[in-house]
Amino acid sequence: MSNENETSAWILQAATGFLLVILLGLHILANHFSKGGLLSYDQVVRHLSNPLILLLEVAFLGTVVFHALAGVRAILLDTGIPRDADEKLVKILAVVGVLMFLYGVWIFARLLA
Amino acid sequence: MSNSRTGSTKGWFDVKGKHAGYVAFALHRATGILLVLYLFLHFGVLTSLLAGPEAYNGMIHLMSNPVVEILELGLIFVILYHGLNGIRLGLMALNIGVRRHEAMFWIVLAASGILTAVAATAML
Repeated sequence: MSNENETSAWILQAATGFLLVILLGLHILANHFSKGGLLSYDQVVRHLSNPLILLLEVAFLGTVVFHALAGVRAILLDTGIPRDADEKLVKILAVVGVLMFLYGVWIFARLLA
Repeated sequence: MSNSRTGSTKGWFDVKGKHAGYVAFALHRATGILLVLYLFLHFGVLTSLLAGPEAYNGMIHLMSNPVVEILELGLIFVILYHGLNGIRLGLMALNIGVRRHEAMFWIVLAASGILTAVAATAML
């Protein structure tokens, strides 16, 4: 991958990392510290039925999955994997990422159905 | 982020006698790997939501014990370190505080410890 692409990858990782400081902070405070945490199924459903919370959770889900998988790629690049392996890796991680995001959204949808 | 392609992972976490910047990056990488593993675990636990109220409530009951709570505090420390050191790396990329990066590393460590203690008191 060219240096230019690596720079964009770094910028994306930094940008999603910065977003995560906010989104993960809100996720932890809203889900685990407010009212003693979400300790029952009913509490989880009531919590997610607030559209603002749902929006926060979906945004958090997408951002954290991207940042985590891009981080895995960055670490694997440091092991010196060849360029064609990196191209395959990016494709695999993209599929894994989309599946993880859809799985999370599916859980939200099932809870709110 | 390091772009060095040494072709080996040997020495990634060999921080003995290395300068603070190296230790900070080794810790950033180690906490990142831990957080990816935790993300998969978190997905696994939340899968119990799909099995209905009894499964989820049972899972929460199973996790309500001191051992899990101590692990949760460890997780909070790992998240805080990774996030605060991430901010430190971002500032350095913007050429802010590069000369004070070592002091910033110690501040990141101390702040992570203090905020973990605050979280611990909130969890009591």
